[in-house]
Amino acid sequence: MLLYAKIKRTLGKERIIYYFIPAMIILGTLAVYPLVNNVWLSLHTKAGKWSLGNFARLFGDKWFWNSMLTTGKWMVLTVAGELLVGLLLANLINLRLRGTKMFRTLLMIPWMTPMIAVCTVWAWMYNGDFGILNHGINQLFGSDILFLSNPATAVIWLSLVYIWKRSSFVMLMYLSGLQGISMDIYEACKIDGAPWYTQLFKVTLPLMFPVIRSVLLISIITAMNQFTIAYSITKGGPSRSTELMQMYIFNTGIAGFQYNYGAAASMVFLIVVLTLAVGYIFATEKAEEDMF
Amino acid sequence: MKKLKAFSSAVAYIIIGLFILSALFPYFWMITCAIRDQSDLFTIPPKLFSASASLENFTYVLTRTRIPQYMLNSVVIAISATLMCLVAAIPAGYALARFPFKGRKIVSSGVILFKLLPQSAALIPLYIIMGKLKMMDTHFGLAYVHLFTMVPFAIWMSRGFFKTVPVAVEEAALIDGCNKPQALVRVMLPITGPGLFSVGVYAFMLSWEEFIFSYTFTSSRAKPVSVGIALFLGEDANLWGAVMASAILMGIPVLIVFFLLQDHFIKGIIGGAVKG
Repeated sequence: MLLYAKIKRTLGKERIIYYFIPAMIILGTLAVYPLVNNVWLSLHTKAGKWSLGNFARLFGDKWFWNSMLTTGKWMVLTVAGELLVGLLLANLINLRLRGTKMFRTLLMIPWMTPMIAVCTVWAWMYNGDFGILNHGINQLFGSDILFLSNPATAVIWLSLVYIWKRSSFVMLMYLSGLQGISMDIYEACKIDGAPWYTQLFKVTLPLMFPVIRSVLLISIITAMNQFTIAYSITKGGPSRSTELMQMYIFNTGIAGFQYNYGAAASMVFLIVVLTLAVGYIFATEKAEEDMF
Repeated sequence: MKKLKAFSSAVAYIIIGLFILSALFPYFWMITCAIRDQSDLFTIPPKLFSASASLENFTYVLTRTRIPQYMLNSVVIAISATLMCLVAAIPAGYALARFPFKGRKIVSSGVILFKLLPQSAALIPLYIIMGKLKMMDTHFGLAYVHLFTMVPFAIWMSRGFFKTVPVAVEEAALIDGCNKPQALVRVMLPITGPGLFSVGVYAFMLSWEEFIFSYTFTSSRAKPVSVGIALFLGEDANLWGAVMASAILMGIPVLIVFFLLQDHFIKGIIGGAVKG
């Protein structure tokens, strides 16, 4: 009873930190401690001796640079693709044609489907012997495309899966921005007789700039953190041409049991992602100030 | 002018139609391949429509593979992860939405930062710790590590839903003699119920489809369905029809829930992504 009274008395004071305790325990054990541990691991040899050897080896590893380059390619392809498709779709949906809500729902089905389910059907469609896409291309153009067996282009076809899945999400983010622009401004344009391109460049794009900046940054980070598509469809092949950074970390650190070396690779990757993430946070804070 | 407008909306319809077609074609292909006979699956050229229709692939998946066991594992893992996630996220989201405390901005930024962390950054240390604690390949262990992605998301979403409730509602509760935790439980939770329910469902889905941790931290007993399907896909045996059937079994529940809750999802997920 005394304990109960004590708890009640302390809770009565309503210390704000209590509201965060469960989240702090979870994120502390799952994120903060592992990150610190990761730094420690990356700076030690397997035997536990302090050394910078992991990083020296990493920067001399051509497969590490291969993964960095692949991740870069992957990022440029997917981000450019989803941003363009998303922007186009958002503008089409924003015309508010009849049936728009249904169109939006249908377009969002890929985004809501579990990633691995999406990967299975695309792997089957890309199949070299019995795949429907290869057959379709063959019928239309009379030649085959080696979707997943050509190291030079496999990453392009994988990025198509990602763009297919994620464009509608980008569309939604744009839509929330577009719908935040007051119709009064467009009416004023109409009264002043401004042509559509003036509207686009002087009204829509400047007002959308904060949204576009946030969408761009979050898309870059999400694309870099992708793992499932490449792992389940190509396993990083052919000849390691689709081995994204997270996969390299998994393959060396977990599958190859080189904890310290993998930790070093993930440190380098983390620094890149964190830099972008900090940029995103500043951008969204700025967007909030701009909007309200 | 009127003609031009009719023309441009016709063009818009056609473009939207093409995008919808390409968004939905893989589903058409997935379903028709799942219900056709093995002999119709491997034809050259592939048949767009097949004469055969049977549920053979589904019965194969449900009776001859371990997919049902993996589905059950996924349900157990996702439900326990969702419960833990909500217990952690709702109070935190509430505090972020309501209390003007010192350092609130830093805490909010911290939550976003956690949301964007790559899983690989924690992968190796967690692998070592899980091994030491004998949590490898256990349902609880996997459910707990899934919180890595779920909790930051859920905090952010629930914060958004709490922000939509006018402060006056809560003040009324406080005047009527509630303290703040009571106001949360008795007033805010019922009002934001549908929104918070969708947070829970979204958290469930994050766990349901999570891959990299699930793949690393399970080997057999606690293997969830996402990993089960990926391994099924990787096998050499040409069971494409059965692979499609299992992907359908995994995806359908998620899509049904999405149709029911889409407005809440859109509000909750988009709200935090662009406006902070």
